[in-house]
Amino acid sequence: MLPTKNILLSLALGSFLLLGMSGCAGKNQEHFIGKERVILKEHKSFQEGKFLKVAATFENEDDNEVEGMVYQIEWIDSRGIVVDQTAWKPFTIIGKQQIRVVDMASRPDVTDYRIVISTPNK
Amino acid sequence: MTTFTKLSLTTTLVLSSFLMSGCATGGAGMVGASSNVKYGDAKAAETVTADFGSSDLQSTAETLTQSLLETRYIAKAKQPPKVRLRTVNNLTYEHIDTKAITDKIRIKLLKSGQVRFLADTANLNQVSAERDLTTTATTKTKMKAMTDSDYIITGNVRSIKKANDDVKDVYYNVSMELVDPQSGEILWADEKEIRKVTAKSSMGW
Repeated sequence: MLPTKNILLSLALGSFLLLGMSGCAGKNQEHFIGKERVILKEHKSFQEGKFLKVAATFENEDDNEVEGMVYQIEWIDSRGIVVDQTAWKPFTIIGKQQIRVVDMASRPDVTDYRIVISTPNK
Repeated sequence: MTTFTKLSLTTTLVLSSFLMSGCATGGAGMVGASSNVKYGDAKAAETVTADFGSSDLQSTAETLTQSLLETRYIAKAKQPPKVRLRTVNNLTYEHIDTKAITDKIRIKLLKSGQVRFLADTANLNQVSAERDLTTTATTKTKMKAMTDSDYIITGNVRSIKKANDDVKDVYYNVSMELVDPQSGEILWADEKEIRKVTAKSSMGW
């Protein structure tokens, strides 16, 4: 009975560790300003040396509409404080196009991020 | 003085004080709140004209800083290397303050804690003057020798412009190199490309 309990405990701990290491993307890491005319298809983070790197994919699900968008990444430290942010980066996405971006924090104290997306009014 | 005269004098005084205060009033801690001047987001994407602008400066500095931090000469260095910024040449037809680009990169790299910077050529005169002053005006007659750089950063900004009656297309290319001044070897080079299109019709966003 005891070995089974230990195995279960190790499995649970392992899963927790894996979850933490993969930098799983949460909904609180996305923030839309205005209408969501472009979707944030996926985003994930990983450690590149001392710095946090974020990879994100934006998609225009519409067939015909050309959308303009800007995005910014807020870099957050372990206390939950925004310590840095990228410039707003503009893109034009045609119908069904996906844009993949990679950004890296330039401060070693960054542990988390939030992607802010805005699509200007037409 | 009649009551009527008194009343008109008071009204004139109140009116003139109101007019003299003008539009300079605002909320607490604000002056000229009703004017057309507004503070904006310094990091906002600026698309006023197709010229090299603040957004281009910021995105160039970010991209090249990220790339520099990933190079093994900085990422894998046992201690932060000493770097000196050299000139970034403006080879475009417009005025671009290239020092603004390198200064921004330097600020970001210094915040990263991965690089140490030596006074660049623009500041070197100030440093020399201070050293001269120290040796002549104070009792300190011997100065520590200035340190040499492990690497220098140099680069170029180029642009290609094309236009017809309907569209103006501008392409900017900012390239930078990390050079070992001892060997002259280029250890890292990267570029940031920017394309800006201005349409004369009301197309786009």
